[in-house]
Amino acid sequence: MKKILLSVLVILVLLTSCSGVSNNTIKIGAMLPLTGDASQYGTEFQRVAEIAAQEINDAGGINGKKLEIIYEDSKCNPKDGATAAQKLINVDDVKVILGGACSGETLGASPIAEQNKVIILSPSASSPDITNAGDFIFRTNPSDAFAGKVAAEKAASMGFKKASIIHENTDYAQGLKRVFEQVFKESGGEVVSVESYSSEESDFRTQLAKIKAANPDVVYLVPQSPIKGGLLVRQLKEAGVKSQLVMDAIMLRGILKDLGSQLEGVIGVEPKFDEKGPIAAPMLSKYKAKYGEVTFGFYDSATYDAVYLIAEALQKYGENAEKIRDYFYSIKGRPGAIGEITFDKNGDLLMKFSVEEVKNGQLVVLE
Amino acid sequence: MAFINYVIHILNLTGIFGILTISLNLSVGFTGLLNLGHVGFFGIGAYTTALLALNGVPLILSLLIGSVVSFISGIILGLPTLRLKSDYLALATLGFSFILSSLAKNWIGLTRGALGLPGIPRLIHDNTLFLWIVFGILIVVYLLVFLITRSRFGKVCEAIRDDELAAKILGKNTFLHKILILGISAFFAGLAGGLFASYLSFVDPSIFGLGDLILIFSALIIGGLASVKGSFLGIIILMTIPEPLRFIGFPIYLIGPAREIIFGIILLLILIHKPRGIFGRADIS
Repeated sequence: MKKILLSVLVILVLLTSCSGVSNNTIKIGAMLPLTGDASQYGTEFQRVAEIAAQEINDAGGINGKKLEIIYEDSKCNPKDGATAAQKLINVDDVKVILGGACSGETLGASPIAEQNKVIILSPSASSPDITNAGDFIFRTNPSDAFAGKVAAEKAASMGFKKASIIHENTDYAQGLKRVFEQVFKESGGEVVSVESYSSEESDFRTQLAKIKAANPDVVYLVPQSPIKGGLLVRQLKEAGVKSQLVMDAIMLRGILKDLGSQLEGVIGVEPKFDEKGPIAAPMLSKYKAKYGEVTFGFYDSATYDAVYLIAEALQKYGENAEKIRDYFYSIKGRPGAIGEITFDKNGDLLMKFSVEEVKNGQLVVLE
Repeated sequence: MAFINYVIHILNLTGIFGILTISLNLSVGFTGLLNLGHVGFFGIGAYTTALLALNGVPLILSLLIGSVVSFISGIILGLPTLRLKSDYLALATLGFSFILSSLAKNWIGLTRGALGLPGIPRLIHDNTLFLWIVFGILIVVYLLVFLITRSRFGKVCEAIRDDELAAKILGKNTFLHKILILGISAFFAGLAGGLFASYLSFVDPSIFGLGDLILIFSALIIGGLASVKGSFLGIIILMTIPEPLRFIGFPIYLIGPAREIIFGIILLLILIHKPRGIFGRADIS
């Protein structure tokens, strides 16, 4: 027994000594969910971040120093997010943290980063609460608030007066629902029913019967995944709901092939993002060549841009978080993989949205 | 290098989860109730404290009310479920945690659902002072639990764990003992939850998740059932071992999983060496 313990200890010590510290690097932190349910996001973003760091270092690094990213597993929850931030800030002494992927871990880490004047730049936390999380908190993906707003404005401009909402019970879906409800009411409409379902459910007939009874002009669907989106549309048609349907176009694209004609006339809203753009396309093909299938093209692009923005800021202002913060606020219309990058006064990414409609089995851009 | 700040953060979490583990030992270790609803009480404390504090109630009062609400929910959970035996009780109490998680996600008007509650006031802004408070409370809880287990009341609880029928034959009201101990255990769990919410300034439904339940149960088992100092040691081991693993130079793509695996192996080794935990005096039947 003692021998086993001893050998474990020896191995640990050996492994520890492997991690050499070099003065010729600039370190930044990254907190991502590397284990658990959300690790699919974390591992993919980690790979993209490494691709970006590799490119930056191959091109000469940051003023001759190599960019090194130190990863911590924030497990998609506020507790581990807080611990990851404490470790990166106090032990590794980083001035910028990339992440988190989830809103919960980002909100857990935000007060700590804010207090220590360290920048957080999240590629995919989309909760509307991040907007007010602090002066040093930024993100390279749009708040859910924007998509909900665009959808509500579109529905109102089409002359609809009565809306129903059905949403999955997740922070993302709930954020969209809140904003849609608010904006639709402000535009003079009425939200006649709001239904929700948990992520484990796949039979929505009870909720849909209530929607049918409310007889809305338009139904706003907020699933968390394309699969649930497909089920929702199919069951809505089966229930005989004939209202106009509005949902996220990224979800629509995922079910277009399977549902085809049933989706005719459905309106989709999504951030204007072109996978074949001049910066996104080479990055994504590089990813494909190295790791295989790309799952989150949009968020990967946001991660890629985040690393480049950080490197650029470090190059210009060194490890001075306050100057980097001011620089980020000043960024307007900078080209990136996700499109043009502009931060608003809250550190949120402003993005243009496109409104699309399914016509003959294809998504056609309306505006 | 502000290394010490990071240590203080880990110690703060250790203290809060220490209170949670010690309180879990009251129901599981000392009384033999396989209570899987403990994160439920933790979450009730956290949410009650957070909601009250966010609505202007002084934080100390919110913490107290949170603990009391947790105590009451312990009694309420106990009334229908404590007639169940071991594994059935485990299932029923686990269901309690799931129900609360559902409530937190769906009662959007109150809890803001999956968005969680940000901006909860801190008990005290400075982490070092927070640590003193947490450890002060931990010591008080430790002593209280120690006194409870040494009292006549505590001895009856242990008798219930070892042989409930025998305790009944001796004229003890076993149901009353069980329900009270579950309530007391929930009270301390609620207190820990309130401290946790105030420490992180943020709470969301993930607080009812299985992750923390597994964490405190592992701490309980590693430390040993029915030993207060065991629970204390157990949570120190569980909270601190993962930290040095952060400094091992794993290849970057293995960081997450490799740490979890080594952590698991260390726990296994301890249990192979000490099957009843380090200070264990009892088994769960």
